[in-house]
Amino acid sequence: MRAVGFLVSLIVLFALGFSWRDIQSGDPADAISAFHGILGGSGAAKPLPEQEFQQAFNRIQVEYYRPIEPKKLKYAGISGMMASLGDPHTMFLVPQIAREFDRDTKANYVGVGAKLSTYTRHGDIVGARAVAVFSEGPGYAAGLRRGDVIVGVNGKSVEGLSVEEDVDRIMGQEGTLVKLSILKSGEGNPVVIAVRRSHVVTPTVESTYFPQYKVGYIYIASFSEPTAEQFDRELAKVEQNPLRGLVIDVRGNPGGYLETAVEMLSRFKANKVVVGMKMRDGSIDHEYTVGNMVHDFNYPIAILINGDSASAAEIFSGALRDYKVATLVGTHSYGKASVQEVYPFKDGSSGKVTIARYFLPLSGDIGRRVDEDGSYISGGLEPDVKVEEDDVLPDDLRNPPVNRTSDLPDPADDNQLRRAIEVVLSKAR
Amino acid sequence: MTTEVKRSLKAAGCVLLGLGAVAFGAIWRDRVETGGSDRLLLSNLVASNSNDVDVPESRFFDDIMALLHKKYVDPIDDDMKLSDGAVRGMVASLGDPNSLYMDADQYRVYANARDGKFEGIGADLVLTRDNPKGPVVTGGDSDSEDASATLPKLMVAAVVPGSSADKAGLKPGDWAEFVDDHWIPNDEALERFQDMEKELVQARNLTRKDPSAAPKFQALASEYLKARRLLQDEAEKHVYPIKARDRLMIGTAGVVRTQWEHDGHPLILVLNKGKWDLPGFGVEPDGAIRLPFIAESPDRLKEALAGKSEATIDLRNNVDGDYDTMVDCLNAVAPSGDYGYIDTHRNEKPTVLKVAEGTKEHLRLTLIVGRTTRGAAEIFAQALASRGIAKIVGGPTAGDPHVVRWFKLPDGAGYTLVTGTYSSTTPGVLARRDSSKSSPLGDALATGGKR
Repeated sequence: MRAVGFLVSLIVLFALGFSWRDIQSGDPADAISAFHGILGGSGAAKPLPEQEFQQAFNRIQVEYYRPIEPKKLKYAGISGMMASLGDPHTMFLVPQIAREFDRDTKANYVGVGAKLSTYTRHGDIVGARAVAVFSEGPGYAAGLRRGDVIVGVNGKSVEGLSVEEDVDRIMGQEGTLVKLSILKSGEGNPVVIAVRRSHVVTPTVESTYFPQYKVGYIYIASFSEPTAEQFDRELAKVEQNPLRGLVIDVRGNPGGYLETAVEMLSRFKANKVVVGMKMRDGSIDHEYTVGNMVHDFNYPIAILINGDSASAAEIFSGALRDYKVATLVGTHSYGKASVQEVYPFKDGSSGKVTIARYFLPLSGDIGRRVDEDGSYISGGLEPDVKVEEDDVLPDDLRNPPVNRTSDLPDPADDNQLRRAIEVVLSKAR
Repeated sequence: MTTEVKRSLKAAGCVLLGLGAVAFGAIWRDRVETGGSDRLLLSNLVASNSNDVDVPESRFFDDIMALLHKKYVDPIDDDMKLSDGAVRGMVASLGDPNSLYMDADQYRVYANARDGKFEGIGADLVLTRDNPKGPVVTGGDSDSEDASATLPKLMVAAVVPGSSADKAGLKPGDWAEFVDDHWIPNDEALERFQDMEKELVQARNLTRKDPSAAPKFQALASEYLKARRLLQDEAEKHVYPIKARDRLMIGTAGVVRTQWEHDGHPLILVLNKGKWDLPGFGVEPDGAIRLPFIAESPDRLKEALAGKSEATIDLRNNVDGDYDTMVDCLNAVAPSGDYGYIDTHRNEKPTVLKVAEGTKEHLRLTLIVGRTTRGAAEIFAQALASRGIAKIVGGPTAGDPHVVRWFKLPDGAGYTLVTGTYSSTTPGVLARRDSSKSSPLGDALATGGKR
């Protein structure tokens, strides 16, 4: 009997606790209907998730006091739904972003072969400046050079347009012509050049040689489809010089294809696990380097990393550090320890979904931890030699003006690079 | 690097209105690793890459839900969380500081605050923009992108008398800069930085013509670098305004360390959290009627006014009042008739704010207003003043005469939606900007947002 009494009071206490929130908000009816739900009662029929979504979608369109584009609202809803999983890498890509994303990851598209950035004069967008023109592309062949400013496409001004909009106008069917109105070096009157659009493979790897140190330098912008092949080519170029060491720069490298990272790691180590992937069913897949691709690096290697080196870039640098092939220099990397797959949809948008988590051979789980505000707590690869970047004015704000012939950093004003060179030289025989 | 700071702050702008994830900012640093492209054949979303196909929203929702269930690395046990997320995303995309998604905890706290029952530091905080960018009335083009790229400020709208915020000297109009050492990003900091950049460019151009200006350029350059470093450090440890508001307004125990901008000076306060009640409906010793728009107010107001020919009504500390309750109160004090317009800015005919029953006697009213008179309370005051029924004392008001509706979702979460703005005169006139010119209230109802 006492047991029964105890049980009853427990239930009452439970009920009180359960409904405390609603009692506080002065709405006990809610608690009662929710409680009803627990006991298996039917209560008021709870709407299905899709009904809740549909209702809010309709309501916002009808009742919000400003006009709304239904498509934007739909995409915002889908974005929010994917974001609700709390994984910053599972996200919805609206058609425009999905297109750019695809272009960037493949590094292989039909176009003129130039990298563009917004060009402003007195705060107004005048056009797009070619910050890099790929020497093998059709743009270069037609006379387009680094520093030229595109102010018109097919006779129409691009004033005020974003770079993305410019790119959309410039790209098109392979073999067709596009007329670009350009200001040579950003000056004078526009001249018109005709470029035949063709397949362009973006250079994702660039290299140079610092003769004063006898150190080679290879910059990897991303791990895209052609990156491994381009890496081989640039490595061969660098190795034509007497080498006391090599600096590989993956600062700002956001990653790319896992296969590309594995393919490149195969140049350094044969038949080694470079990453383990834990799939959603709990199984673990290991990725191995292949056995017949190893290159003889008979000099010390340093890899430059920073907070924007992520995913495939972290696998690449982490594995080389774990196998004692390279020393990591710079600041801690981003800490992205998951694998995504992209699912393209009919309307041009796509969904990027985390399908697995990975860990490195020795470094283990490098997943980024953030506090509830999204501020970094831990994660990423810790560099062996920690060097913060010095504060340096961006090129366009300098005086006297800087005239660079390439985007590659200059040891004179890049303290992280200087440190990396010191590190390889200290290990050189 | 400059563009990085801008970009990260822009990203902050995109997500700050509650879309928890760092989605847009993360895109540029974030790529995929894809294995063999295993294409999922979804019922309605099969890839064909034509851009003109418009998939209906409900099919989209169902198909993405199926995709996530099938592919996402962790099991998803609560589908309502997904639909709540969708609602959150849609509301956030409006980029409107008065249209906000709330989870169940937030909804409970903010709904209570509307009734005068506060948690946290005992202040009512609102998101506000000093300089609304672009026109409020839009034509065909949606301006939501611009709107979401600006960061609202977190401003004190009212302080509960006797609360720790009150005792520490916090005042309406103060705005929050730091909460527990986390910086709250704001547009002004970014604009100040951009101004520095412009100044530096000018100095550089001058130096190129006249080398003797070089020292000034050097000095500006080092200031610029310092400011950039500071902005980067602050951006690394930040809290979005909407989350900062939760930290200040949710919870009944513990302390919170804060920094405010108070009359142009920084004010650093360590504040206790607790429970604080705003005084409800009541009559002051001097006879003034304290009128919050809470459930009991219309009836109590009728009682209090019975047999009277004049009355003074205090509309201060009336920030989040319920619109329908306000209309009921209007019926208790004003004769029947039209009292201006609720403009939806959607190219529809605006709704007339009507008093249907109204009073028989003509009451002479005095309304006490101030910057803690906001939203429905401002509409109440403007409506009465526009017909010459009330004399306005005090002011200026907050300058935000929006109609805000609250909607509750089945699991206790909810959202607010601005459904219109009040205009006492010609429909289509922007109440917020033009009230000082067109309204008979003069200074009393001038926009109070700008200090």
